[in-house]
Amino acid sequence: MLEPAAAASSGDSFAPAQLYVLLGITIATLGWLWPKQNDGAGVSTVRLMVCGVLVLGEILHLIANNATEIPETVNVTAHVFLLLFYAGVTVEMLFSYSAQQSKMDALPASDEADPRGNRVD
Amino acid sequence: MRVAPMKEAETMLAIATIVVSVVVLGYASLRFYRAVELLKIRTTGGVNDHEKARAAFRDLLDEADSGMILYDDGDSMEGSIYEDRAVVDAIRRKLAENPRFTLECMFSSPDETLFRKELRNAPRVTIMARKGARSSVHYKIIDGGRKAYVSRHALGQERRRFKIVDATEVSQSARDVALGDLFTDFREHHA
Repeated sequence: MLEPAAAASSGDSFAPAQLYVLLGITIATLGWLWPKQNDGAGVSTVRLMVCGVLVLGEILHLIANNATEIPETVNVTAHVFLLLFYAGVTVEMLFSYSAQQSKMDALPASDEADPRGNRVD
Repeated sequence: MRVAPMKEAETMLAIATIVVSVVVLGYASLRFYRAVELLKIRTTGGVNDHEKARAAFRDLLDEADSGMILYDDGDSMEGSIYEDRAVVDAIRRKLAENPRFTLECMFSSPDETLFRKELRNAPRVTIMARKGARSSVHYKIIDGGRKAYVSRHALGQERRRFKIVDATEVSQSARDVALGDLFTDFREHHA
């Protein structure tokens, strides 16, 4: 158990959770942008997950700040949510990749040439 | 407002964690299953001519159960399947043998082909004219996306690149993902 101020500044047990949040947001941003460039599949779900995690993170932050000690439950919950978040984003990206791949596989290449003489595929 | 004691708040948090975990894991499992399903769609391709296109059409027609969608030029050029008596007869047989079978066609060419003349008034056959510019992508899809023959070529081109997409072993939602864009094009131009 750690006091919030000490945990935030010393980099003890609560600090990894903060690091995870940063990593999570980075991965979420990548996960958010990547499908958008392809066909938009999964974008709304990833957005929802990003918002959900930020809201949940904020709730945990408030609970932690109002407590004299950071309860273990809060710490564990933060980790569980972040793991779920990683799992969700990973699966969402996998789905987007599969969807994009299957759409591309279904379309034959074109024989039509572009003005520079390259084949347009 | 009463502030909940920490123990009570922790219990609520633990319950919320479990509920969120179940929901997210359930969703992720379903999404993962869909992703794996998409990888099970088999695609083969190559380059064909009128004869191979005709054979592929007959194969698809034989396999079709509930229906077929033709999205094509539908022109009367030499070698066109739409000027082939055997193709028209095969469709007539299919319609007679299978009362569930429906045929929806959307053609970009206004040519008055044998196909149009013979099947225009046939039961469970709909022939529509595509609005706007010709699309270079054409397809023949059976049973709502169970199997599709997709080709891409210029008008009248003899040798055409094609793909056969076999989604027999996957769910309808996976078919909709893989072939959904083609259907969207069809629906958008639906008269």
